[in-house]
Amino acid sequence: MRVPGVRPIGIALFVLATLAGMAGCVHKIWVTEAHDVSLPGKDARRDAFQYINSPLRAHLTDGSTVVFSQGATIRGGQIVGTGMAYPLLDDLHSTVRDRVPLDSVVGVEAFEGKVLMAQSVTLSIAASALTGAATIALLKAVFGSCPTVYADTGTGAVLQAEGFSYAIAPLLENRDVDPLNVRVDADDRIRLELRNEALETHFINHIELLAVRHAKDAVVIPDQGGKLVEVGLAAALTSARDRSGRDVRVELARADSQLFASAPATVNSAHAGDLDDWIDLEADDLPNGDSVAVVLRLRNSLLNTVLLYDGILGGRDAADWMTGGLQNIGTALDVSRWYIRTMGMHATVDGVPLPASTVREHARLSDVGPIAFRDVAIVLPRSRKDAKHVRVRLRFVADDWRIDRAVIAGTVSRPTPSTVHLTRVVVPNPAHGGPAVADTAALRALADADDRYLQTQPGQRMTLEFATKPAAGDSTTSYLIAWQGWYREWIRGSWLANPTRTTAWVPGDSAVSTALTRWRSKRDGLERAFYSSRIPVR
Amino acid sequence: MRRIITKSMTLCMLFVTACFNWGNPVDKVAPANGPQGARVAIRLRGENGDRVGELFAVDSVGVTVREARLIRVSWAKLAAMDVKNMGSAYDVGLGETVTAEKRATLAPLSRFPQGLSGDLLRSVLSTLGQGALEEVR
Repeated sequence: MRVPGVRPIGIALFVLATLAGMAGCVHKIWVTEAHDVSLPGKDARRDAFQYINSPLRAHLTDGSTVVFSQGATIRGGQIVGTGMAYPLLDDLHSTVRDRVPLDSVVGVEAFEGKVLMAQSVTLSIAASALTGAATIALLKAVFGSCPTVYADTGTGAVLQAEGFSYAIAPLLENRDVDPLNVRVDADDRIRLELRNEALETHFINHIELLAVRHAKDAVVIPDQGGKLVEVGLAAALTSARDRSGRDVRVELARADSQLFASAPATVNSAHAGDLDDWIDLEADDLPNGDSVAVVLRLRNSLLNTVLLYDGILGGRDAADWMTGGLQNIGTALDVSRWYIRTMGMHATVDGVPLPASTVREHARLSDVGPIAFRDVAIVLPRSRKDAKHVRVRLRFVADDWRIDRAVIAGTVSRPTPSTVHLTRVVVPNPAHGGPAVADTAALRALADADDRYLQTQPGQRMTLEFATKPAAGDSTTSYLIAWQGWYREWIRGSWLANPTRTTAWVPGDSAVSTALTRWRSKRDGLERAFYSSRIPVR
Repeated sequence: MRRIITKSMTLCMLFVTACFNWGNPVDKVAPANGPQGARVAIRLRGENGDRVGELFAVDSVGVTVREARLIRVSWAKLAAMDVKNMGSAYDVGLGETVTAEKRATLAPLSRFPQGLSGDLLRSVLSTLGQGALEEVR
């Protein structure tokens, strides 16, 4: 089966990626840095010599500027080179100037172009990592949304988490914390497999593990802000009803793949101005305390993906959106504010006043992505200290979530995690053949949240190794992955050939309403295509 | 069909032999190639839109930017700044406290890294036909 409209770009990608892999194409990532240049003082020897081979700007006392685009030499009390002199605030009229006396110069700066070696090497490996098998899959891939990690739990590689969902531009770079179900190997190491299984370029800034020792009858998971919370003594729900009035306690009782999804009637009636579904949860006989945690296991539906693919990226201006719009602070902020206001999961507690009239919720959980289920808690205040009963409303855009489990925990505490640093990155199947190799460039790129990024391409995978300390026998240690980055969605040929919109995309209720309409019409087919079209990794 | 295949193969060969450069080499960075400062987008606290203009100066008080008029925005008022064609090291992120080191990093990208005050400021304002520097505090 082939997803309509994907073929032209798929064929092109197949040929290009295959040839790129054969050629071992080298990619370079350039950055430019500006530096002040120290000028020799008045007492310096006249024969002092300094050669600068990068572009140079000299700022003169009269406000004019001389640009030496090919570099210059500083000697004999002068800057000597082929310069262009620009009068104050005049960028158009310049005169050639081959020397500038230093005593007329206020300051000089040089601009140095650099190739980022680590990132370039990584990108080259990534580009070469595409195989014939992988490129064939490009023909029909619609799978998307961020990097994934897998772990060998004894029954083969099992999907553990997807990272920084919907962080589709550098300004939206995000840090996620995801619980892992992993085992420590005999050599006290945890091994995870990082994959790029989508038509995306991933820019991963940082990866580390958080380890928490805790009692055996508690669990440690991230809360709505990504901070860790230890929860125990979960109470059974005494009531769980969605907007349509359905009793959904069976769907939410346990993690059993029996999922909650919005009622068809609610989805069909959603429209701009009233997009929401909700679930009212109630629990009784809570232990003493001043807060509760709604403990959820959930993932997003593909509604968000439709909103992204058919909405934001559905026009011929998709590339402009990715490279221009979302790299503009104002646009990114506007999109981000709208997204926070509308999407995600909004929680309110009965009997607890909202902090301001403009605030609509006590807490908000961000979208987690459509691929991996995530265990997460929404920590909320109780109506009064030691209240035994709580009623919580979870409000969200209709059909945005698939919820496997929801319980309310009355025991909530904040654990102190220890950090487990990444110790090794291994490429199991190097592009040029041979045995697995340690990728030190990738290790350096992932070691800290800084300006260095591991950039991966579709089909690439690598093994991440973390050295742990032996666990004590009287407790359990939970591990969570904390990772930060963003990704760039590849523009599909079908989006350009058959745009879903011809006018500018505007964030707002009507954009979600339009996405819902599309989502209703193609939900089943899209889900089948999406989840069966991951890019094979090598 | 033959023409399509020929064109496709030509493009493929170009791809194979050309390879790629990413990022911003020095010839794409405006201040390295002329007197102008970098193009910046600034977001002021309490405002919903960006202001886009040329970076004129960076000092301990704030940033001086020429949009329609020449304005100086105090650091306290500046919510964020994006510098075109430069890496994130040159951006001012939301909530970031701008240090002296950051100011020193940004200054060379401005039109007047030496600072804009005194006679030079008067000359600039006169050339722009602007009576006074507009302060945004």
